[in-house]
Amino acid sequence: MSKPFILCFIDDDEIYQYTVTRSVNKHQLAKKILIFPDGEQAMWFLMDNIADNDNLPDVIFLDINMPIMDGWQFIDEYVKLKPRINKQITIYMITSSVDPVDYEHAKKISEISDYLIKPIKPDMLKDIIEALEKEGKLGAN
Amino acid sequence: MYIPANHHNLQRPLTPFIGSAIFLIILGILSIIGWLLHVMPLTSVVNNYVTMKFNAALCFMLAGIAFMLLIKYDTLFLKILFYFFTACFGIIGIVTLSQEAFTYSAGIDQFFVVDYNSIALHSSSPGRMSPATAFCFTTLAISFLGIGSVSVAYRKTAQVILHVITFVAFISIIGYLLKVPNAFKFVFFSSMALNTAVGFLVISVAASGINFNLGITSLFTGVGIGNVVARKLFPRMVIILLLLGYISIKIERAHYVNDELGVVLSTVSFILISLFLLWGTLNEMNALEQKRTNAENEIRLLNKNLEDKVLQRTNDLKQSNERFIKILNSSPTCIAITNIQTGKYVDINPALLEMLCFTQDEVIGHTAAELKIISAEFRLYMVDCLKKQGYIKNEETVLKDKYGNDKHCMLSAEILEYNNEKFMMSFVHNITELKIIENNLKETKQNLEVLTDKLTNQNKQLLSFAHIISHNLRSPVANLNLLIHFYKESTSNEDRNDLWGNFDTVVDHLNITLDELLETLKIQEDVEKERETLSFETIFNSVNETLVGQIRESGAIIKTDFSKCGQVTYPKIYLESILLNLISNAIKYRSPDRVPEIMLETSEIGREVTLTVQDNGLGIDLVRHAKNMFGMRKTFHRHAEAKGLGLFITKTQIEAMGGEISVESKVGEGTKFKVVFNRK
Repeated sequence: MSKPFILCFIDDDEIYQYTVTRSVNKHQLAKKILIFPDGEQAMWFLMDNIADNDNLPDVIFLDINMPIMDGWQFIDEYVKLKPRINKQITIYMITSSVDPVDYEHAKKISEISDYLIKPIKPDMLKDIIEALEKEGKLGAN
Repeated sequence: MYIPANHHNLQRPLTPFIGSAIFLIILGILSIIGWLLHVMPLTSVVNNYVTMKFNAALCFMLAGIAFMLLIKYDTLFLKILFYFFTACFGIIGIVTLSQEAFTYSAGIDQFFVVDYNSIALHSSSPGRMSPATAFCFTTLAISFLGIGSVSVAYRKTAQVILHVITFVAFISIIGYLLKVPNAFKFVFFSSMALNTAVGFLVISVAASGINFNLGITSLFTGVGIGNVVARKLFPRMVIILLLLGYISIKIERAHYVNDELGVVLSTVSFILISLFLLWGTLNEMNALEQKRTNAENEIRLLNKNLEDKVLQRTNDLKQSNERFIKILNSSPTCIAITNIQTGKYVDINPALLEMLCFTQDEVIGHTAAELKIISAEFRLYMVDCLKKQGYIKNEETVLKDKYGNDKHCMLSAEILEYNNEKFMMSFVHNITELKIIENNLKETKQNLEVLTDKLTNQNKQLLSFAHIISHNLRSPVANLNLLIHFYKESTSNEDRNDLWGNFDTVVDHLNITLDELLETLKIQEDVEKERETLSFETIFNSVNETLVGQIRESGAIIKTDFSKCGQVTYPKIYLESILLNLISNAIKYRSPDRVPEIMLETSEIGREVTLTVQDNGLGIDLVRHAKNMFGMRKTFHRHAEAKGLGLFITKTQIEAMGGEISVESKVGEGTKFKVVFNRK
């Protein structure tokens, strides 16, 4: 029985998309997986489904380095959009960058719950979801 | 008028004068009381002696008052009173004398009281004072009038008259003291009463004290050594002579010795006593002399000390002068002293002479303007500064040496006063070499700034590199990691084959990334790539050939204008790469709505060569992408061929050669890239 969550991955790396999908399926962490290759497409999806909580993700795993609209730009847009969203969405920043500048930047943004460095192993993903579930931050509505 | 002024001016004590005046008044009053109450001792001191007549007593009283006024008068009223009293006793004296001379009675002798005493003795003229007394009063009145006179002659006369009165009174007193009987035929003197004689002695001596610098009085009042001797010797001699006279008369009267022996004895004893007197005086004189010598020695010593001091000061001055000259001559600082008025050099030290290539003789007595060292205007400005603020400090100026060469100098000056003339002391610091060093420093600083810019650039590139490595290399590795994890867990062959395909993709990615990195690293290393003079036209043609396929396919129209600047000195590969990237980008991101038009243009400002490449393509949202415009693996369009590498390499190449690239763009209108090849 898979968990009743919608997880969203925004990353242009096809291999990464493959591995996380595989990890989620393995542990049955979600009822639905949303994958976008850049921030802009993810933003379009959010705007299209802004009033539809059944389609909005519970957790977003956001890559920093992407073409067209990168992770930072996505966050900027998301902050503007947030007041209209009626669902608690937890955002994780995911990157392969070990650059401390990026880390400091992420810490200053309150919308970002944590900053994770690739590779994201299947167990790690499972731990995160289970921890969120325990804290009651998931499936509140 | 003269006296009071004199008294006040000299501030002499008035007590002796006032004292004698009071003494005189009391003497007169006592005698008057004696006559009125018939107490004879009050009139004659010793019983059966000659009495002081009532008139004489009255005269003494008047004379006492007059003398008091003489000392004190300072108003017209008091002066008139003085004349009145003086006239009173003077007239009484004269009338009495005239009675004696012309043997008549004016009726004044017993006018106040009756002289029973004289009547009893059958005197020819009872109540009349003796001629000597009358004479003394008359002359005393005259002298009183003369004492205060402005004329020296009158004052001298008055003084002489006073001495005569003293003399007369003195003889009378001696007569009494030695008890020489009346019958001694000195009637003129002996008939004066003892108290009368004392009164005259006192008033005449006191009055002569007013003009103390005249007559015999001056003998005793002077400050000279002779006056001291007179003051000491005279009273003693008088006393001794009186004593001797008294003793010899006593002896004679007792008939102890005969007359001749008496004379011999008195002479001998007088000589002996005089000798002792002289001895005592001599000792005192010698002591005085000793004191004076000591004082003189002291003064001499003081003088000597003073001379020593002056000598010392002179020496000090000389030494300080020598020091000054030494400093002037050996100082490495250039020093000159000029007269402020004339501007002529008074002194100049070797350091300054050396700097200006002059000799001392060429400079001394001339002005700086004459020698063309500084302009007359600048000197005037300096003098003005000195007058206003008293000094000049570190004024930067240029002096000229003998041959007209510029010497950059720091100039300070101060005013020096000497023999009531003002001089300007100038200190000159040669900073010509410093100036050269300063210029060198400036140049070095400029070079450093260029170098810093370059380094900053390289640093930026390195940072960007670190980022590329951290992201572009780490992400395929992370993927590999995960794939291996899944591969190990996998149980079905089908699944494993599926995973293998993914491995292929990741390794391909890794390979491409590594190749790109190597390419950019090569650019970084080849900063000193060989430059050659290239024609934009030629390079453009060769790039055009490379892109001919794309151009034909897109139907792009490419226009060029290299008329403003046809050539650039640059590495050939870089220029080709830059043109290729910019043109292919322009074609790649063309607008599907328009026929692509691309315009290439060059220009040159100074040494700066600029190339602009403008298209009418899609354009880029610079508000969102400016930061990432030239970053690695940044793509802004969903385009099949967008790898996000072209502009990064272009920028790396341009910056490695010290140039820069910038962009202007509007979404939907087009993009304009501007390349500055050599920022200088």
